[in-house]
Amino acid sequence: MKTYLKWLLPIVLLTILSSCFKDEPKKEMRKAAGSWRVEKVTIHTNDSLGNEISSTEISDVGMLLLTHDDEFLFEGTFSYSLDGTALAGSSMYYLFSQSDVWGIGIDGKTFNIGDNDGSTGYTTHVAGFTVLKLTHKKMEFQYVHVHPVTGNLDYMEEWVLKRGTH
Amino acid sequence: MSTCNKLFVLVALIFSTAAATAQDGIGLYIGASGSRLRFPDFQQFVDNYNDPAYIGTDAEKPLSFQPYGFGYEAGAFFRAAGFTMGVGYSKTKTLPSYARLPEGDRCFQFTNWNYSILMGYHIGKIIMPYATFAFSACHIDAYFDYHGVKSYGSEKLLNGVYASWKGIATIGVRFEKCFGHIGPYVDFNYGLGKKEYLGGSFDLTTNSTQDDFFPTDPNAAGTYNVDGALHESYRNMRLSAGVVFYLFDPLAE
Repeated sequence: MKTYLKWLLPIVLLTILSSCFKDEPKKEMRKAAGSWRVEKVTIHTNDSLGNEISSTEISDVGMLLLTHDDEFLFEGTFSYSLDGTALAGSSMYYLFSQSDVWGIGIDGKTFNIGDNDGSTGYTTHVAGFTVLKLTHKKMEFQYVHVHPVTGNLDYMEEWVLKRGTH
Repeated sequence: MSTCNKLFVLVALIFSTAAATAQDGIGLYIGASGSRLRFPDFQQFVDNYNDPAYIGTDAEKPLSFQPYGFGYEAGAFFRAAGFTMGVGYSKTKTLPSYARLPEGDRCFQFTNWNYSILMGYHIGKIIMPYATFAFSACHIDAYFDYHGVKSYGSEKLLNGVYASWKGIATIGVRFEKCFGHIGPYVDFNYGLGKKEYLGGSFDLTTNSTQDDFFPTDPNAAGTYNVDGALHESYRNMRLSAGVVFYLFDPLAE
């Protein structure tokens, strides 16, 4: 057997195996950890039937800082420096103001924020957002609110973040 | 990485190192698969969900379990004097199970990943009965589709991704026909696994007792009550077909 063929098998096998574990939450949290520049926030407002009535775009509103311990054993610390005036109509900004920890859910499908009680150590979940995209360079997530009576989608925010401090 | 994953990687590393130094008897396979997942405990959830007291009376389509799924598999093995031992990986995703409501579709989708160690024996040139032991992960994607806007967010208590890990055992038979070093195969197997809870949809921390389990009763969603958690059971029939490639000529064996 040719030498390169003999090594082909382990290479193929290990490539397959390395892809098997991509759904681990720690890997997704490593991608999300660090500082992010909020490039764009889009707010969609619908009527009670779910039809869009307005859409607003806000650009460059500040920074999110998602810090974490090296081992990713616990949820990370969540902090931000955002333009409160520009985001006055944002529900997510309001939810951020109640939160001090963050985490990425299984398979990287949700971005979660919570309020950690330092005296008991327990965390209350504040909100979970849908992750639309998560790479080391770019993150996009979406917040949805439904009409309390009809159950239709009545409000949605999309945040586009890019890695960096400026 | 979980202990199960570490163990599997260790076995795979030993296997691949041995394979790299072996002179013959090595094979690879890759294929596509279709499966039928039996999940009797999820039917309890479906029945509770479809109770008019929960779903209401204006649902256009009640929730129904969609057991059919599709996926792929790949692996590598040694073969010597008819005996075969190998490692494999497979992934299967079911079609979405959904209820159609006026405001959108409530959807559940199941994904299974199996990391298996295979042992078999070739009877003649074509048939190989085998057994596997596998570490299996099952995820339920629970999301709401608001007429095109897909959300895993916390505006709905059931939303999120729930996961379980368990060991499973499989028996199967593979039919292959080689033309020189390469040939097609068809594989049929049936697997059974231990029941496990599905947890973790919005699990923020690993140091608290708070965890969010997939419930048997949708009214109990988000209550963190393990007593009412659904037990995922693995009962899976799988049919797959693909290509097997030997680094030696198996017909000359």
